[in-house]
Amino acid sequence: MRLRWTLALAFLGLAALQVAVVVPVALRNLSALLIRQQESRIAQLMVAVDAETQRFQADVRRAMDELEKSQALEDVARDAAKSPPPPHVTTAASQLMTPRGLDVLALLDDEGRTLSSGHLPARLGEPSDPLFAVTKAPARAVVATNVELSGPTGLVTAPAVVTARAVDYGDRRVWVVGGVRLTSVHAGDLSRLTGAKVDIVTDAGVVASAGELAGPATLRTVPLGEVARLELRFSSADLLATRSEVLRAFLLLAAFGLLLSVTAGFWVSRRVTRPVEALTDAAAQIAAGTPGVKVDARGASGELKALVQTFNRMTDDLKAATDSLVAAERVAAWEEVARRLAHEIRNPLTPIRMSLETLLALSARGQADEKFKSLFSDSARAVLEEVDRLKRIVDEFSHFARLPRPQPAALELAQVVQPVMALYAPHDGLTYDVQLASGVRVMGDKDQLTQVLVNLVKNAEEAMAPAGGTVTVRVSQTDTHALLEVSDQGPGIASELKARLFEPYVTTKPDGSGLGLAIAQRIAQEHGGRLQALDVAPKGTCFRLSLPRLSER
Amino acid sequence: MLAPTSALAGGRARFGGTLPVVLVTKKIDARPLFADSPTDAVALSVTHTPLCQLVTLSAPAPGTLRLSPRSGVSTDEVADALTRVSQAAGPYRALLSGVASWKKSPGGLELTLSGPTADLPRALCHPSFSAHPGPFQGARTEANPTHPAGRPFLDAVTLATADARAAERLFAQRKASLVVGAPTPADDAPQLFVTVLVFPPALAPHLPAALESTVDREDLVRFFLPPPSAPLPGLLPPSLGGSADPPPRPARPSPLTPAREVAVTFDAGSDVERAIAERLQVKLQPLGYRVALRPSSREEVRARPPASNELTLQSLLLPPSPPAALAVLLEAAGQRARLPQVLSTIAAAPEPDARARELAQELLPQVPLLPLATRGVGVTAARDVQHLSRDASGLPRLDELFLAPE
Repeated sequence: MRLRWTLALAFLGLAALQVAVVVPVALRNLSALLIRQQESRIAQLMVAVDAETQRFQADVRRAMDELEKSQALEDVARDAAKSPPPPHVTTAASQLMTPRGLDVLALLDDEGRTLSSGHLPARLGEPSDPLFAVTKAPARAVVATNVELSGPTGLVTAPAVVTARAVDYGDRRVWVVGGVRLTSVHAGDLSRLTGAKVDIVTDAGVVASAGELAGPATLRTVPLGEVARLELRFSSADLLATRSEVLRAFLLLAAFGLLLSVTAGFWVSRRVTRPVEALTDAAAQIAAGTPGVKVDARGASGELKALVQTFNRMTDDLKAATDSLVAAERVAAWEEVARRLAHEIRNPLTPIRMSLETLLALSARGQADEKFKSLFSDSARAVLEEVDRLKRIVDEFSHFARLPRPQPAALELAQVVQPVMALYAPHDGLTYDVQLASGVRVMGDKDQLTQVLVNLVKNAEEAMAPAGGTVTVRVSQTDTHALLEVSDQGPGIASELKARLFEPYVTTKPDGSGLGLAIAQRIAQEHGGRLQALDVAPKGTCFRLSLPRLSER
Repeated sequence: MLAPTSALAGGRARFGGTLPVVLVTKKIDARPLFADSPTDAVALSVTHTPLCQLVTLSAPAPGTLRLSPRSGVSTDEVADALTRVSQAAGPYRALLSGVASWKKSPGGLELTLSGPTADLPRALCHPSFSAHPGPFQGARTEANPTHPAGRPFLDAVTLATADARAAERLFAQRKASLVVGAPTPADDAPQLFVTVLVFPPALAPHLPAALESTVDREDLVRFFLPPPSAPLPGLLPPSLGGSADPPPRPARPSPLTPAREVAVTFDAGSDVERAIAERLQVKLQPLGYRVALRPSSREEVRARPPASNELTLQSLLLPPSPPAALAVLLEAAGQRARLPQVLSTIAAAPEPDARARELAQELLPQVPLLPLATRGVGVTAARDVQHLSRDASGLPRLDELFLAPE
């Protein structure tokens, strides 16, 4: 995987890891915070409920205190003490009740019989045990009790908060028990105060209700004496909605952060890897033999910039050193060539000189006999042969020196090899094994590549003479290079010769020129390729020509 | 005593003047068939007159009665009144028991009888038979100069409604000279407005025993009915000679288990009936009855046959005749089939009223009806209101009043 992608994925992974770690923790903490806030808010509201309940009871107490001190009640108590009470006493409770905001009021005699009832006139003359029980409570205490009411389906009991007052007239006592029923009005007041759904619940079930409830809720219960209780259900919908909103915001931020991380990761990795990739490409070019490759240091910074600058200096130095080395090698090569050429030329000159000196000596003696003629003829023939030899040496050297520049074109390597190998038929114990992979394309000069192939096959044939064997010609490819291999089954190349194998005039054959492999190596180099001699187990040599592959595109 | 007494006033009566009358009620319903509360009956009597004052009754042949309209009264008005009562849903149609049909004749209406009537001459004094003309007429209820009984002394009557306190205040301020329906001490005027409870026979014997054992008529009257009113222990009120003694109270039955649900239907416009219904809730609940309240219109209370678990409170104005009153109560109790036998028994007796009273006592345990209370018409008059008299039903006769000079 490329460094750029690795870095980008690392950025993405790091950002995702942060999101995966941070979001759940943040949400859990947020939920806990919201729940604490909700609990705190409910606690405050319950304080308000308690205050409202106290105020409610205080209203009842105040109304009953006012009634207790009223002249109207004194008049009624006075008449109620009469036996039998006059008729207006029976309706007194209704008249005393309504103006004071009470909806429960009963006048009881000291035996608990109803003298007047505002909330249930039908109870007149009858005992009212629940209300009479209130008279036994601590003085002036406001208590919750059940009161009977006339309902459309029968008598019903309803919770109320009431308090009792004793009114004495003479030796008779009249109890006034009054208060307020707990109805949906009060539930509504509490619901508006708290925002909760409020139910007033007795053993018989829900008797009053107010408020709406959506979704899950938190329940709080407030006992109302022993007869009823308030049930307040605080909706958690807002809490859930807030949590959902925050979660959505978190996810949006996380997605944005991830996107930002990816973008930044790509940008940073591109910025970081561009010099590295340029260095890699430059190194590859240098490895391929391109000298003096420069890397643009403008996009780099810090250590990378220093690295690029160092690399550029190194390539400069390398180019200079290479140039010097090449120049030195060229001088050395030419010195070697000159030495070898001189050697080659000197060899024929000795017989020529000796022949000519023999002829001059004979000529000085003036002996034009048959022996002179025969010697002259032999010497002239030897001189001519040596001259021909010199001419051939000069021609071959001229051919080597004036080898033309290749004219590259896109070639299918198999189509270069196949026509050439078609000319070879088995002979003198030699056979040919041709293995051609198709689709191996190169940029090259067909004639020069053909010459390389012919030289290599000729070398292979000569290496196996006279015993014979199989010459194997193979075309294949790697990811980057096209390969042309020619293998023989000869004795192989001596190790001391391997280093000088491709130098001109190095040969093991008595009549070899020593320029075939040098020419092949030069053609390979001029095609951007390389020619190598490899040992083949158990015996033999493989010459491998590597050329840059031409992409199918 | 109940006849018009204009002759008595002749020497000193003074024509003229407008009488402001306040009726203690929420609203006036002056329809003849439903004029069975004191205030409604009084309001009706201003513009209507009972047939007994508009016709003369004769028997031209056995099994036949003739109603001869007095001067100024049309035969059609009389026939319409008879038709209205005969077709009415409710107990008042019993007033025409024994009358098979009627037809016009030169002398008035010829009634064909199918048997003994429910004392038709006195039954015709019931407001349900009321017809035009009345002593006062028109939108301003001015005196009717052509009234068969003669022109009223008053020039006009103004009717207004108020609650008891407001009526008392208006009276004190001399803005009302006559207050009708306010609580007043009992007097000797007839008390024929009765309230009874009709129950389905299927609920006997537990329910009647429960009611009799727990419902205290004295308490009902004392707590919930404005005076003048009285307990009604028997079918006939004391004003018609009925017994005023309370019947022996039966033993309190054991409570029903499980509780039985019953409904009490009553006139939604009547505070008295509502109070009694709620009292029944309180009284019957310990005995295992869960009593639902079913307030209804007065028409529905009269017309709808009660369901098997339905108790019906009925407030009726009884006619001023024991046989007719007994007939109305039997009809209210759904005992119409008994009427021919009962009326024959009464007619055959030498003292029909006495026989009717005896039968009322005998029939009380047999009919699914519980008499509760009876009311009269409470009337408070200013000092300048002279010659205040009552008719046979106990209603004040406004046509005989006159105002004393200032």
